[in-house]
Amino acid sequence: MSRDPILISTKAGLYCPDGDFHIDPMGRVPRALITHGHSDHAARGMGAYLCTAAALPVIRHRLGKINAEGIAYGEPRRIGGVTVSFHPAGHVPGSAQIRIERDGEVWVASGDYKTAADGLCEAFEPVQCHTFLSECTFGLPVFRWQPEATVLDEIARWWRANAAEGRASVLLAYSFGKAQRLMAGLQGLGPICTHPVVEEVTAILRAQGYGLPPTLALNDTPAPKGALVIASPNAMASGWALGLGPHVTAAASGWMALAARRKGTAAAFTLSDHADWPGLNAAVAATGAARVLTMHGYTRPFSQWLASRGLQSEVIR
Amino acid sequence: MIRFAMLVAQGAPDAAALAAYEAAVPAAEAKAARALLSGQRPRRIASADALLAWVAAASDIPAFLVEACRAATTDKAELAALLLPQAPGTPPDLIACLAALQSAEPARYLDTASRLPPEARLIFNRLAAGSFRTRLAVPIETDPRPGTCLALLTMIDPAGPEATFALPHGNALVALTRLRLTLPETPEIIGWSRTHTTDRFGPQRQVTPHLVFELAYTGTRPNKRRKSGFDLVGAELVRWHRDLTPDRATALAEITPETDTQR
Repeated sequence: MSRDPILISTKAGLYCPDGDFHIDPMGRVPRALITHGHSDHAARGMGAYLCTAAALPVIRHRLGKINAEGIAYGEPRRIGGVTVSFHPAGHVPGSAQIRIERDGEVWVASGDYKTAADGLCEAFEPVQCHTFLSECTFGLPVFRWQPEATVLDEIARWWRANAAEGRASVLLAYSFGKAQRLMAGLQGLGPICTHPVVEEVTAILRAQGYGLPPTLALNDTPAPKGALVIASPNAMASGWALGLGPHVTAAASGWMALAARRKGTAAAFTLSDHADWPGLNAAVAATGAARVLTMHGYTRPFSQWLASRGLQSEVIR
Repeated sequence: MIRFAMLVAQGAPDAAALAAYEAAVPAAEAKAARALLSGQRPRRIASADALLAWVAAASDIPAFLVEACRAATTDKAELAALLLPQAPGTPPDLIACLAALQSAEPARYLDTASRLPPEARLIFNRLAAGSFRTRLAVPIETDPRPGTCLALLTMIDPAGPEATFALPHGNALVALTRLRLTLPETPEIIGWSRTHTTDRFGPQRQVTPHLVFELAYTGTRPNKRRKSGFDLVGAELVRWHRDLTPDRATALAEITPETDTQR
């Protein structure tokens, strides 16, 4: 395996010289393979896009008119001197890890991933490889998630208590992924309302067949009594919330594990779409990779940790 | 212990939260909680450094990783709480936790701490390390301060985000304190300020004094350099009262400390 690396870091993003494509580029490039539709992974301006068929509708919605193709999970595709395939990453609906094979050598770029299953997106599948490029947003041992059911129970209790006091419960969450995961996990407990931006993405995913409950978009209308309202933090800054009527607000994020992030919040729920420390370690082990390149987040300590466990590891980018 | 941790998670609980807690737990636990919140603390069993060392040893986390985690956490009590993996088993209640603090045995501490979820473990660690400081915010019985007040938002710096809070004094508003905006509604408050700005001072926006906030504080200290004439000690932002109008704000005179007569 002394040949040139399959993926290298460039200014525009990860680049595969043998296939002449980038993964999740932020700079304009002719050909982009996209792991998922979050804006720090899917940007405008690429000549051609390739992503999973499941990820494509949201990516089109967010990026507008693009030259894009959807591919099934697991379907091999020859591009130049390499073969690529997309595998579920468990992060958001349609999200993928990208496997790249060149003459029997396999690299996997994880994109963002979550090892624990949720009720909504395609469950993470470990992919055997020689070199694993792993995100590590929560790559410190202080990040250990409670089971999803425990957190959803806490949210349900908070929602019920607010409803009993005649207030709406506003949950702040990313408009794509977390928002829908929350409504899927909390469905059947009461009316669920959305900010229009959340509603647009929800409608797209619902049309794709993801198991989402009915929701009511609020356009300067008060929330029904006892409703759960799902909105992005940005939406709350727009003045839209002023029309909601009496409500209490809480955040749902992995960062809420930290006391400093919870400080001053009326309620905070630690719920992440990324792997926690045990999840990252389990994912690395499951790939069987002898070499792990760390990206996004606590890259240095995670890499140093992996090296101390006998793996070859370095930070990429 | 989980219920008690939830009660004090956001600082001093208000009377309604305390009453709801007391109704939900056995009488012995309610009594123990009252004692803790009135300042009777268990003797500390170890320093936060020692707790951290016990946790690091028990969870086999190398020193470089403990060090890397320090920057992410507020203090060593939190770091020790988050580093310890959760063990299966019934989480101990407040009484069991206090009983565990009768002994300074690392094994006893670890057994108790590991069965708690992280947020409850943080409170347990503060009790164990003698750094639990939460006291009742509501004036109970004779003590008019440790206290709260209802203040108006008058200035905001969205970049902080920080805000200045003021109290009415006659027909004027007098600045009381400046606090970091940590509420979940912060983006909403900043959004509101955009359309309610009356003046600008660099990054600071002066806003119409319409929004009412509850502040908690541990005391007041005369300070002639302040327009109010005193420092608000240990001030914390508790919540935004959407339901209250500005006329409900606390009058400055109500919380002004007794003047020091010894010149």
